[in-house]
Amino acid sequence: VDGREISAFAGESVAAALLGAGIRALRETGREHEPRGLFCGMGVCFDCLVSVDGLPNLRACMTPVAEGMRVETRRS
Amino acid sequence: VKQESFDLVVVGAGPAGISAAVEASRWGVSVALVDENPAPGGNIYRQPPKEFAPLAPSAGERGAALRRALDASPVRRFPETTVWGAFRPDVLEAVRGGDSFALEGRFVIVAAGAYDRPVPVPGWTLPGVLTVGGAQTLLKGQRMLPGRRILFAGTGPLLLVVAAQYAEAGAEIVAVADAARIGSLAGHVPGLLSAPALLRDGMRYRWRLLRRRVPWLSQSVLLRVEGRGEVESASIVQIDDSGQRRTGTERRFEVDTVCVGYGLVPSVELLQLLGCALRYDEAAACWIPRRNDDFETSVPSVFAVGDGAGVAGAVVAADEGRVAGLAVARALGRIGPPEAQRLQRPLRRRLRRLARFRAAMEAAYGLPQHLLDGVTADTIVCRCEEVRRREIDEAIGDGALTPAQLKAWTRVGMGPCQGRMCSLPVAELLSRSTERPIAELGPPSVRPPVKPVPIGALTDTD
Repeated sequence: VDGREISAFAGESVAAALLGAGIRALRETGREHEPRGLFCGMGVCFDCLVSVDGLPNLRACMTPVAEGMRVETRRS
Repeated sequence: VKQESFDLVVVGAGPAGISAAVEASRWGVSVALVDENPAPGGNIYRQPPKEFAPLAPSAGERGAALRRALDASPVRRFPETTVWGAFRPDVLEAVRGGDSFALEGRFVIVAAGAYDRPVPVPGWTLPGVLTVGGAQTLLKGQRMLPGRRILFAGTGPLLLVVAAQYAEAGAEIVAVADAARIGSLAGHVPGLLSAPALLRDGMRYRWRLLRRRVPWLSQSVLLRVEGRGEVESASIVQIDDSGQRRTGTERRFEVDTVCVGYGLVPSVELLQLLGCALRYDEAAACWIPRRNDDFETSVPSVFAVGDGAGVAGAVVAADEGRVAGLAVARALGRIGPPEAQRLQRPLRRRLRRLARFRAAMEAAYGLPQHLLDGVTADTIVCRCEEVRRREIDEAIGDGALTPAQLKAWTRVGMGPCQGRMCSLPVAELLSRSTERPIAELGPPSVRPPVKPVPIGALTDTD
C-alpha cells in the first residue's frame, strides 16, 4: 500500500486489509482534496476507490486482496 | 462483444434472485444468475470468504438452505459480474474484471436489493462514518469492526440488529440514537402479530443490547460528525413527536466511528434503465417499480422482486422470487397455468400476511419528518461531486424545477454512484423549496452505465 508492505488474510477485501493496517482514508477528493473512506461497504457509493496494480478507481470494498498486490490510495 | 443466451437472466443473487433462479430452473428454464459478489447470498446471507472457513459459523439455516438449493440446481452463475447497462430490455450488458459480454434473456428478473437511505449531515463524508448496512457487511463478510468507540444512529430494524451484533462482537458502543419513540411498536401490535417469528427475533436483539447495558436513546437523531481527517466526535439531538429538533438537547460523544442507518431504499436504477415505470411510495419515502400480481413490471417479460422492488426483508424476497420464477416457467410453457397457480397460491397467502407486518413496521419506524433539517448550507449533499446544499439552494433560487435541471446545473448525481447517495435528499430539498410533492417531480434520471466500467473493458477488440 503506497509503497508500504502490509499483511492481510486470504480472501479479505482490500478495504478490510487496509482498515486492519490502520488506513482509513482511502482516497482524496478531486475538488476539495478531502479524505474519504469506506462508507456503504457494499459497492454502491463508490467512495472507497483505490488503484490496484495500476488499475484506477476500483472499489476497495468489492476487491479481494492478493499476494503482492500494489494498492495506491489518495490520488483520485 | 461476446453474447450468451438464456431463457431467463436473473440479476442479483440475494434471497429473491436465488429463489427465482432455482424455482424457474426446476421447470426446465435455462437460467443465468448474475451478481457482483464472489459468493451468492446477498447482503443478508453474506458469509466470510471460503479462506476464513475454520473460524466462520454459518450464516443461519435460511441462507444455508438457499445456497444448497442453488448448488443442486443447473443455474449458470456469473459471480463478480456487474450489469452496467441495457440497450434493449432483453440484452443486458455485463462486465467481469476487464472482460465485457452480453447476456440475452427472453425473460429478465431484477433482484437488485437495497442500500441504506442516504441522510446527509455535516461531516458525514469523514472516514469513520459508515452506513449500518456497510458496518454489518464488514462484520459478517470480513469478521471485522471498523473502529473502537462507536456511535450508532438511525432507525428501524437493521439499526437494532447491527448494534446488537456489534455489541456481541465486542465493540464499545457509546450509544444507539434511535429516531423512533420508545414503545413505538406498541401501537401496532395486531399488524406485528401477523409475523410472530420476526417479532420474536426483534425482541431478542433488543434484549441482547439491554443485557450489555448499551445506552438506547430514543427520539434522537444524528446532528453532525467532526474530526480532522477522520471521525473524532459526533453529536446527536433529541426530536419531539413532530420530528422538530428540541433546543438544548444536544449531546456530543468522543468516538472514532459512526454507523448511521435510517432504513433501506430499493436499488431501482437498472429497472429504470430497462424502461420500467416507477411510482413514489409515500409510506416508504422512496421510488418503487409498478408491478402486477406476478411481479412483472410495466415492461413485459421484465420482473422485479425482493428488497429492490420495495424493502420488505428476506422472507418476502424469497417468496416473491418463487412467484416470479413460476410465472416465467408458465409463460415459457414449461408448467401449466393451473399447476403454476396451485404452487403460487400459498406463497401469495404468506406474502399478504407479511405485508401486514411490514405496514406495521413502517408505521412504527416511519421516517421522521424534518430529518433534513440537519443539512446546513455547508453540508455536502452529493458525495461524489462534492456539491454542498448552498449550491443546490442557489440553483433552485435560479429557477431549477426538476431533478434533471439540478443535475445539469450543479452536477449533483453525476458522479460514479449515479445519484444513489444523493437523489432522494436532493428530491426532498427540491420538493420543499418548490412546494411540489416528490411524486410530481419524477424519479431521478438514469443513463448507462448504471455502474462505472473501465473504458478498456468496452473497447477490447478480441
